[in-house]
Amino acid sequence: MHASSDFAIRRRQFLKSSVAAAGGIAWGVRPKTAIAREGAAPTNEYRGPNVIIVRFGGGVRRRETIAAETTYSPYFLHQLCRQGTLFPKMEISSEPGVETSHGQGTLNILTGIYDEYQDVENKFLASRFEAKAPTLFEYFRKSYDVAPHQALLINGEDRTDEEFYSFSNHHLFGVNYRCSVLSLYRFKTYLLRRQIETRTIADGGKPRKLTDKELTAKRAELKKLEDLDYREKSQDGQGGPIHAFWEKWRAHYGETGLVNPRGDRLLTELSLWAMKELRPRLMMINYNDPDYVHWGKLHHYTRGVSIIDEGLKRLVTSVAADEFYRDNTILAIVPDCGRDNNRFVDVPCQHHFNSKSSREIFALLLGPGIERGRVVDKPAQQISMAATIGKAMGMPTKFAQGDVLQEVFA
Amino acid sequence: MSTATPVIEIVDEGPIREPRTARPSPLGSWLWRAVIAPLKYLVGVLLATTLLTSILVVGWTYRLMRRTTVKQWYKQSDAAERGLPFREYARHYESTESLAHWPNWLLGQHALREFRGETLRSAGRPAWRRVLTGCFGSVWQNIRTGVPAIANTWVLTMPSCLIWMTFWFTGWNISFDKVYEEAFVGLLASLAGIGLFIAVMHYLPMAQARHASTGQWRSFYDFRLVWKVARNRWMASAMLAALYALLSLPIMLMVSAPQFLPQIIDGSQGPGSYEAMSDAEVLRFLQGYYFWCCAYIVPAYVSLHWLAARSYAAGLLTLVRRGEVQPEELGPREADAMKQLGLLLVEAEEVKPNTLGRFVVKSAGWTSSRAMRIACGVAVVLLWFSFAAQIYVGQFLNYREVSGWLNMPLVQLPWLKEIPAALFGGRGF
Repeated sequence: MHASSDFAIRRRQFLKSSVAAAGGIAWGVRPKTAIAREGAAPTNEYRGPNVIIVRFGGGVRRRETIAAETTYSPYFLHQLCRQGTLFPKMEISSEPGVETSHGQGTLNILTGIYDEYQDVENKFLASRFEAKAPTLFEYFRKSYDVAPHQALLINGEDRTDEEFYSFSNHHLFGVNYRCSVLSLYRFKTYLLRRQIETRTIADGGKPRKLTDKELTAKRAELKKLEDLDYREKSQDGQGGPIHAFWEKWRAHYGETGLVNPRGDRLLTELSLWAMKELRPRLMMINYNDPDYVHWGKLHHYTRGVSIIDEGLKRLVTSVAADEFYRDNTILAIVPDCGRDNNRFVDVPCQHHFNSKSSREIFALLLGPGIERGRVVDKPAQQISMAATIGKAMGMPTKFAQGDVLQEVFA
Repeated sequence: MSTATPVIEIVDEGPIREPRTARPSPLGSWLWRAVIAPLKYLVGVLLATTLLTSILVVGWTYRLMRRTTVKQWYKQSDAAERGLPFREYARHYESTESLAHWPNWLLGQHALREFRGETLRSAGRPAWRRVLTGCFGSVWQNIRTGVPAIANTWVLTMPSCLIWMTFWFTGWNISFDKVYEEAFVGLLASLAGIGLFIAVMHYLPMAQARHASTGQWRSFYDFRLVWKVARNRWMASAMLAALYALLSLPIMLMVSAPQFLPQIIDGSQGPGSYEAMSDAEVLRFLQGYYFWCCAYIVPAYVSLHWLAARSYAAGLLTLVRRGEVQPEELGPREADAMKQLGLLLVEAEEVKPNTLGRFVVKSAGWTSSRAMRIACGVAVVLLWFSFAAQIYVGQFLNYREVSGWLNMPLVQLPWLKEIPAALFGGRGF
């Protein structure tokens, strides 16, 4: 607590000068109540920049992203990198126990510490990791009076494990400061609850009553989905704004799940919808398509990188077009992990072996207050993202171990 | 050591020659084998390291299979009972003369005698042809046997392999594009491919043995006869399938291992060792690695085919003795060999009473029961499924786009080599 207070004072001084320098833009945080007392609901409004964290996942190499001759993400490399500060030598630590995979990488970014994780029920190949240290969402919601739906995690449809990254099991943080999650998994559970509640289903666009048999099947299906995330059951959905969001989504795309965009394009679509409907202040998009290379097709990897590149373009365009986000939004783009560079095989880019290449990543931060066109050509750690984002948002991340990337701030 | 001329019953009218009476001493024979066997093995492994030359290994194996078949019949003949060595029997006939020893890789069978014109086949041949045959006879034989052999095997196995390859591609494209309306396509088609493969593998080992035994590619498609033999040998088929599944396990590990080689190298030679390797060193390492893979594959491939040939020979002889296969259904070589050994003369009622113990007789009865056949049939299906599953696991761990699907080293070409194009200066990632 003392550390928090100290931090708050230092931050206040820093913010004051920043605000003055920037002509009152962006960094306005009320210093006296910036840090809520543990267990108490914060009352101070957040006036800092919006932050969108883009996980350039699942696992990409520098070669296909920031290397000019071999890139599959030209928009990111040639346009976005000019607008912000690039860390081309960011790494994941090679310490024992630090794994180079999606869940671990995502939690490195969100918590700011390297940790060893295992599935909550020790299921084989499952990665439902519960962070032991608070996530950025929890820091954010504990520091400011921000509604759950304004701290958002956008997850892929195949990765229900990632629903677990919405809050940690830290005794000072946890479920009370969780973020909301948008994913097809959440939509499906919402939809099933609605269908069971109203005993109605849209059949060929027209509503009709569910038969008893169908109702039983729907209940079983819901239970199966709820069992995927035991923490979700107690929440009974995620509250009014999220329900309203899904209702609009349903009205637009129907109930089949076959009309809306899919894969990482779905994540982009959900993010843009969320920006319009929910106005998140802190949002993380967990892109994942490049990871399909596990099945051997290199074009899935390169196409996945390109799809994220297209998503970034749409995201930046939408930010610029929306007054709420324009000139007040920081983008932090960072992969969850790299991929191998195994010259012994035809498909050289897996990532589960903690190879040097799978620890080599990069990061780009851009937005108000961040130096443009800068390349910081020295090693940096992935866990520094949490502290850096924390600093940009004016909130303490006292359990994060990474250093703030000072070069970011102009 | 007897030097007496053995008496053999000559049934066939074919060309004969007096049996050789001078035999090498057992010690000399063993020493000779101790030198020659590793040499033959080494040549086989070297040939298996390239796609094209591995066809010669197939040819050589088929020649060995033919020898095995005839030798198996010989063991059931009076000639064997009278103590006539197989080598002596084989040398009596032009059709079996080349079977007296294990096949060669390069030199013609009995090359020295070929040069001197002492073999049955060389009689009357011009000197230049005898020299040519003596020097390269086996190369030609291995090619001539290997090409139709692998062609036939491909005809039966390629449909399933192509289905696997195509629908792995299609299935994961469906998944990548999230075309869930068609999610069943990849899975069902792949399962159908596995089903087809299992059906084929019920037939293939016996068909390969028949092809090897008759020397006629068409005989590979004697579906009725081959299936009759396979059905007659349920237990042996199950054992063979189990061996295929077992011996393919190391191959699955071999194809997967390159994915882990950087970590293995770093672990054994110190961190950073892999990164310090130049592309040329990686290439050399891989060539050595695949050489040692072939050192396993060649004997495994030969052993499995040798066992199939033994099983086929036993099954066919049983059916002939029971009158379920008529002499005219046999290939000319097979009919000749059986005639020469007096096996076609035995009438059904003249079959020698089984002198084996009661337990064995009971076991034989039990294994031929319907329940046992069904149990064996199920086991064979499961074992071939596990064989196919290993291919999928290997592909998951280290994807090999074409060869991973289209070549099963124990079934098709005994070859395994996957050098990334990037190491040859090609486009790589």
